[in-house]
Amino acid sequence: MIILKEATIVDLAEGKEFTGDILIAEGIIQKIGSGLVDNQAEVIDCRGKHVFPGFVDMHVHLRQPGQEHKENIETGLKAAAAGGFTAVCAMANTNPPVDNPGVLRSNLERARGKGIDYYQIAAATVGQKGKKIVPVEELQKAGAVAFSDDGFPIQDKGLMTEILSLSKELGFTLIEHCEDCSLAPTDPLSEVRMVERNLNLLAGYGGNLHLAHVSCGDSLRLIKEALGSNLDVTCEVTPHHLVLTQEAVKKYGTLAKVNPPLRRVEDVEALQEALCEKVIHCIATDHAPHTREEKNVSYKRAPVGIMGLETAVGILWDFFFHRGLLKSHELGRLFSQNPARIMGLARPAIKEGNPAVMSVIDAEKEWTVNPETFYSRSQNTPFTGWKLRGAPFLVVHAGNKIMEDGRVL
Amino acid sequence: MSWKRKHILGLEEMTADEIYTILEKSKIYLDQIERKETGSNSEELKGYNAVNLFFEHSTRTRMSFELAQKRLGMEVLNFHAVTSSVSKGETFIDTIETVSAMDLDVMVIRHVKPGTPELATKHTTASVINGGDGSREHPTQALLDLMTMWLKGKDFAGLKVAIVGDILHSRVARSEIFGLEKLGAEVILVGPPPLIPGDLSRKGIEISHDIDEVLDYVDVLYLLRIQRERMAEVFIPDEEEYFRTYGLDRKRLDKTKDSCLVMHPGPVNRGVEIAVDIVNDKKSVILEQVRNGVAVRMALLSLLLKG
Repeated sequence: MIILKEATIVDLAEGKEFTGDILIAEGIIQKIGSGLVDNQAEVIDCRGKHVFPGFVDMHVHLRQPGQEHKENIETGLKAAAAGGFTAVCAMANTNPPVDNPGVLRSNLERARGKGIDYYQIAAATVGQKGKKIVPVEELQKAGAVAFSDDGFPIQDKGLMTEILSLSKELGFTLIEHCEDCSLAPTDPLSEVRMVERNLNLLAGYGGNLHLAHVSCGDSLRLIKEALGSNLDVTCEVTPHHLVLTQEAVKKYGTLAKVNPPLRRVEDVEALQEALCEKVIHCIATDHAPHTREEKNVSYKRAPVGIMGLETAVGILWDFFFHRGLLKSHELGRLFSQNPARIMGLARPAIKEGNPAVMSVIDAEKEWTVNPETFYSRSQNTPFTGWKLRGAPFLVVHAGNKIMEDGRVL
Repeated sequence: MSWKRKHILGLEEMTADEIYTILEKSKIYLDQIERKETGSNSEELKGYNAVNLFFEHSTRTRMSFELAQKRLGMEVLNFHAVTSSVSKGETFIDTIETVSAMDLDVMVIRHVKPGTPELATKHTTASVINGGDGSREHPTQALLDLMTMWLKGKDFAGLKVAIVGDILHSRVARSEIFGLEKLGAEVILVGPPPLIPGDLSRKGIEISHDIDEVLDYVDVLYLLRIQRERMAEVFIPDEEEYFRTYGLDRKRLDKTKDSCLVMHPGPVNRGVEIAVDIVNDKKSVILEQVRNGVAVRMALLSLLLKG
């Protein structure tokens, strides 16, 4: 039994905040009120802390099976909890890739009982080779939460059309990393052209499409237009694309090498604007751990990826909340309600009778990013030494305290 | 996980996570084989040497190991007890020490005596893989069987697997039971009372003496090979009688669920454990087991030698 004392409860539906005590027992929010007392309950002082429905990171790479030297499900879930998340959706580009119900089931088995929720995204094509569609129904039955080839975007138009139609028929979400691989990834057109193609196919054939980590201003113009004509599409942005430009490569070297690459100032400004205008539906970290040895090579040879689970909240609060660009409830939607809806997960509101799955944020806490203290197995972040204002304070999942003040329990 | 284990002696000592790691690694090789990426010219384990020490007759397991070794680019030596100096009176330990002195990296051992592979580990620096020891364990067979179920999308949690036949003398059955239990499956042992060991009656394991009782609810029907020379011991007068009582014929097969898998470690005695026309039925995955066997053995060699 836990009482969150004098918390600032964020109501995402109404866009309001109010102060109250929250009594949690048996996995449920039993009571919300003031001056709640229970001799048996552990009392947590939540003055000035914002309570949200649990945060979901719908795009992470936890590297299991096959690349456990970078990360594994256990360390990845700890990093997620430390970063304030109550659920992650892991991409399928493991070794072997998750293109078969067996691989999917063993990952779910490994993740069971590890504090927060682990959902598995399955590959869209066999071996992520972009040739043959995976056995979708078998994978759905095994628990696939969405389908994606992520870093191996589907180039073939016919195949893309087929998968989109199937997504409508079988009711799954296809997550697409938009990149025309015949162009250099650093050319914004490589993304923009593919966003355009995929939106056209969606308009023509229907389907459930989510665009991963959008990075270019021109892509956002296309998405905004599509949304304006009532096309049902969603998209995400990463924290690093929101606050770093291509100039960061000069400063941080391979630590800033990522795909899609960091873009021009005008792109970053367009992303920030689109986030505030609700053209972008959610924050997803694209947490992509690599070892020091792997990143410590020439820029050309280094693998792409930036880790994000343990810095996302700090960056978004510092750059958007404290600069008056986004309010608490807007951040709550971007971190919780929207990704949960896209992935078909439940992240219930903070109301009496609802399951207690919540992320509590200390908006005022000032801290310095130090990868040495990360729970993740890797440390490849360009944000080392950044001073941020705003940090995850508490994670409650199934009524249990999973993380408190940065410590995973 | 990072691989720690040096020898593969049995599934009794393995964790679920280790089993899953092996299955996942196996799928990488299976995918390569299916894409025809792995020929006899793979370099992955080039420079490593393997010896297959078979003190007991085997064709399939030995061939599967040899193919796995060659596909990874290993040097392979084959040793058959009948044609070797064992028949000249050399002891098992002498053989292991002699072979070991030739600087080998991995030994696959099949022996009629239980525990022999474990004994070998004390006399060699090589990794030892148990290729079947008496009636104790046959881990690589059980792993390829688990892989077959796993690839077919079977959810091990609560999976109901009937193992039919001579459980008492079967190392396959023992490894199978250990593996299935670790992954959360339920095992039903089916066979004549004298062929089901009493010490196996425990939580998660059911015993039945009537195959017709289990047909309609099992997810996997695993038929063990009947060794003709043991028939007399178990009061089964002949093969026809065994087939009538425990054999899988069309009528019995039709009573199983559509999704039920029929498995057999081979070689099949057609008309004894299974009717002639069922071996190639769509529910039968007997040939997939064989195919997966090579991938599993490649995975084990790679994990043991390269981690």
